[in-house]
Amino acid sequence: MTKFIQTIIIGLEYGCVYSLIAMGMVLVYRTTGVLNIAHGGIGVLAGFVAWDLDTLRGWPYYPAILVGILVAVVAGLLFERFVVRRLASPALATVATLALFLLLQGLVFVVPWWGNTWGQVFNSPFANKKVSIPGADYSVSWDQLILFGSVLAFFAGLYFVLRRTRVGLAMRAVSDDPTAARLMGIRQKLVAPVVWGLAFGISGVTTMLLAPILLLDNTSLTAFTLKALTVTFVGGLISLPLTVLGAMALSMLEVSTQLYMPNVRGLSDAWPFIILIVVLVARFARGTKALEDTAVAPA
Amino acid sequence: MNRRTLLRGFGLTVLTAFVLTMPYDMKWAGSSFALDYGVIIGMVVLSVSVLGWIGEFTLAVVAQMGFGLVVVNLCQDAGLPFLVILPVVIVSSIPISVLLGVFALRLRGVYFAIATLAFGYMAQKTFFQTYLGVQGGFGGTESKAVSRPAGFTGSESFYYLLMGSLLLMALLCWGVSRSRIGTSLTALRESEAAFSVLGHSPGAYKILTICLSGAIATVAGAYFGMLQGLVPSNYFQPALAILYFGFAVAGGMGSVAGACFAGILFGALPKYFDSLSEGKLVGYDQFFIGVVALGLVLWAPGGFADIGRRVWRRLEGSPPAAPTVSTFEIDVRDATAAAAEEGLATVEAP
Amino acid sequence: MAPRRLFVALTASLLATAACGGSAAQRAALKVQSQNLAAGQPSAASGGGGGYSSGDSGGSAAPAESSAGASAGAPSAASGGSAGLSSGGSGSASPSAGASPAAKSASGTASAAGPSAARSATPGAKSAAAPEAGAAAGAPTPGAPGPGGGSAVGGATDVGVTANSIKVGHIGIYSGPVGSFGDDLSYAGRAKLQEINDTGGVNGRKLDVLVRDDAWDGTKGMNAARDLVEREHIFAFCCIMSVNTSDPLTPYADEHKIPHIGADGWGEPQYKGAWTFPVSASAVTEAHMLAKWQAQNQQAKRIAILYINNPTGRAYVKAYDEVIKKFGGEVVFSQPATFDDPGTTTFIAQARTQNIDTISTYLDPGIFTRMVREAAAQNYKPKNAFSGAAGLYFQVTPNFTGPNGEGTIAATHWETNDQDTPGLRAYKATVEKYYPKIDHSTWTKAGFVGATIFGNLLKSLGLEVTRQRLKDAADRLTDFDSGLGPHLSWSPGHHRANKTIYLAQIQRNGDKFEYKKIAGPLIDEYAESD
Repeated sequence: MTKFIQTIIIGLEYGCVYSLIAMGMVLVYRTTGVLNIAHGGIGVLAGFVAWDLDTLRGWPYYPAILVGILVAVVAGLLFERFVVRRLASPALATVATLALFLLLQGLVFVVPWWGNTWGQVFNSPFANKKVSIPGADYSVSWDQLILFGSVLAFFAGLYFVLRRTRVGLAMRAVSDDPTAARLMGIRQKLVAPVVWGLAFGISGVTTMLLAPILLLDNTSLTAFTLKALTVTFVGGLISLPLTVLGAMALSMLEVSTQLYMPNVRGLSDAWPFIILIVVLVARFARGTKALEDTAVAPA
Repeated sequence: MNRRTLLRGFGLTVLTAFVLTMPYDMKWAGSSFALDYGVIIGMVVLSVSVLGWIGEFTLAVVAQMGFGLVVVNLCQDAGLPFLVILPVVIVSSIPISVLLGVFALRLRGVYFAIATLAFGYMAQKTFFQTYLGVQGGFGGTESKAVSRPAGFTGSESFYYLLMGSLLLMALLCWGVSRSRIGTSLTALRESEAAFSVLGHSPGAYKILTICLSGAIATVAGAYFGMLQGLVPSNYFQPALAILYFGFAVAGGMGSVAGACFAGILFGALPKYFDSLSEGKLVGYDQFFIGVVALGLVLWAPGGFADIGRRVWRRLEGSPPAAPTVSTFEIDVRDATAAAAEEGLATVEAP
Repeated sequence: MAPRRLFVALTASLLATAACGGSAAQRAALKVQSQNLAAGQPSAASGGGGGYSSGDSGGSAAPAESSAGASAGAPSAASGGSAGLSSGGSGSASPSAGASPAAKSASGTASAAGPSAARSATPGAKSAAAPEAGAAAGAPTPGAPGPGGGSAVGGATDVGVTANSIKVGHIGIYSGPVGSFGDDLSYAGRAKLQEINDTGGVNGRKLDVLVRDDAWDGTKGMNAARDLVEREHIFAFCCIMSVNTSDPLTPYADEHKIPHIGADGWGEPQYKGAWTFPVSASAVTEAHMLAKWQAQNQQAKRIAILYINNPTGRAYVKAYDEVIKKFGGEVVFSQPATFDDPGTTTFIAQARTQNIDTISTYLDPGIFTRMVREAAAQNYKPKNAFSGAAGLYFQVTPNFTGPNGEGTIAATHWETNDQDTPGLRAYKATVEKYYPKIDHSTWTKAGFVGATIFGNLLKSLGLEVTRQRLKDAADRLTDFDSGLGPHLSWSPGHHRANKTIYLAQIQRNGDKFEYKKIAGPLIDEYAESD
């Protein structure tokens, strides 16, 4: 029973990590058609700015992380204004995010007083506070609880924004059909900055939530981003609920493998690929039928 | 003899002379190791760029490189001569290429890329670090480094072997692109539906292209093993594949010459900077590559290939062509539409 | 004589004279050289301007010169001509050496003309030797010992060696993911090399240390290494504390016969190289001694190991398991950990349910800190806390891990920082003189020891500094007292010099946590004999 509860809780924890990152990427893709490869890189930059202010310069915690998030938001606005807007297609914008990813990774390494980008401690005010789970030999830290809550809040918030608010509808309209949106009076030049600022801001917030748990670390945040990218496949880079479901599924499978089948080496690392195959096969069955329906009969 | 012919002859002569003497021309800047590394990266970037012919991009090249290292290590352990090892490495790439090709039959654009990313992730963690990481080439406890063929152990001599191989690969790719296969691939990229209506098999062409790409990447991995001798088992990370994809875009997706040029440039230049700066610029290479890539995306989306074409046209005195975007676009919109057709994105956003 | 024949004869004699080191300055230098060789092995320079101290015995210049002339055609002639010197019973049988900067080092075989030192008269050597030869011309009378004031000088005896300098290649981690504490690993060795220079160098030669950065990336490291060898023409490598470079450098060093003295020794490939001489212990030795100590002193029976999934990590697990079994214990489970999976968390969850006595690790400080903090978050700490390889022994680790890290035992290969021994004081004095804020860890000490051995070996070679002689001297190193605990010995095919482990534990000191020594020296009796 204990092991089962541990599986659920740890699975939820890392599922939240993957979800948070994946949702940020899905948001951008869904509203702009751009795959934001720089998602992790922006978060790292924001994280190190906040850490710099908090740990090196003695700022209070909340102003420091607010500045970090602001840096991320401003970066998003600038990126949209000076890069994305000048590019002819979402395809090129995707490539631009790739270039931005490399640039940010490099930037973090070259700032001399940020030298150790490998595992900086960045505690929140809730460090060392925890809650015991009754009936299980396990405790959960307040940082982890905040992470759980944040994911729920993000999911609900994004869902609400995209479905129920004018801004969200405008975002979706612009992404679906820019011309029609413009004809309806929606100005892409006003909507696009909101999208990118929001997306980069989410990336910054993600890092602030993860750093107290996983340490502020360039390598791991980048690696989590790539892993979360595989999770977005489950939702087709479009569906938030499926994305979250995929993230949770991946995490649960990894954790169960590590807890129940520790001797099967390498299996926990293979799950992203296995899930992908399963989703593909499941949709292949439906897809085949669709292809057959639409194929033109040979003359 | 007209100006164009003269120019081409001159250009070819200069290029040939430069390629033949590059290790010695660049000696002032550093060891020929930098050039060797650049040529290998040129091969990798070529393997990524080739997929531009079918409108796809892959993040599995690094995994394929890793398998190339494993195979060459096994072959050397078995005492096989170099001339046998190379064909074995090429043939060994086929199963993985076919597996990736199967994905390409059902996935397009970013979905295919994500699938290759997942494969690369599994290859690094499950195979290289867990099961195959005991190989000597990975610095395992047996510690037998991958060795270079006799006669090519020095940096300069190894360069000629590598450059010869790259030129052969480039010629092959160029030949394919100019052949009927290349024409078919262009048609496939433009409209897969029309292509299949005409009685051609999109799947066969996709798998063929992916096999070509995989063979190049795997051979590059084998050569990388020979270059380094010992490679840490966690070296072949998916993040590296993203970097090489960036190089391919910088070169111009689908362009053979652009890919080779971009790979050699981005591979060798940072190493020369490292040497010339006596190690002071080592930490800046990713930043430098990011800046260059961003600049290219903004001002020359067709990459070095497009820049090269425009410069050549100007030299030839031809009227300037309209600036092209990348010969390949990751058309996520089309991919989404196609995915929706095939039931992959059946759920609307909430 | 017909004009033409006269011309040829004159030309030939001029060439012969040139081949014999024809300038007056060179002849004077050669004279001193031959006298000293005749007197036996010159002792190491003891500060001052280098050159020879006692040992300069008599011996007229004439025989040296005439023998120089006579042996112009000696088989030992290196490129560009050479002068064979009479040995007169010299004990310093020196392999011939190509002395021009571009010349590759000669093979290890002594010249057929007997133990003689060949000196090339190539322009490079000439220009390098001339000033020193000039100095030599004004040197004290041969036979008169000049303590520290002897001005006999060496010449260009091998690649990277001139009369007044020896080029040394050093690669460190100055940027990249571990740049901030990686650079410290390099500074300690460099501090010692700088001290050697500041106290007179090596027999009149200064160490020209060329430093490069590998950013902890093997391709950058090999690029730097090859550049140092092929373009900068270094003589040898010293004290490289970056395993990602040291490992692939090992076969390269063997292939090109370039000594690497004082390698980090963290990777197993380094022990297989004939030209690589590691100074630190291996992860396998760490595991052996930790297992034994924890079994005997903590009654540890049920162990769990968290490790980085690479060959060395797996070797650590296997080694720990082998030894703990001898004491009735077992490794109940082990798990790899990386940056981007739940491995550290599930590991803690498992450890609690399986009543683990102690968690041992082969990790870097980052992942270890995360694991300890997650254990704290789960309100968990094994009975015997945590232990781990030398990757934990950094002074920042106790601060990172916080209170839950108290009791962590880290293996290290040298006397611990909290001790007060003459060797440690000397080490700290040297290192902190040049780099005051260094984090004293296992590999700062390894770098220091490596550089110390390098300097000592070079001094023992006298003026005849060649790669082969350095390698041979390293292979004869016997019971070298590092001053930091271990005594090191190398012999051909047996380069696992350091099998000594010290254990330090994180203990509370007021409101701080720091490492304190709890055991050592522990000699690994289970280690392989290589």
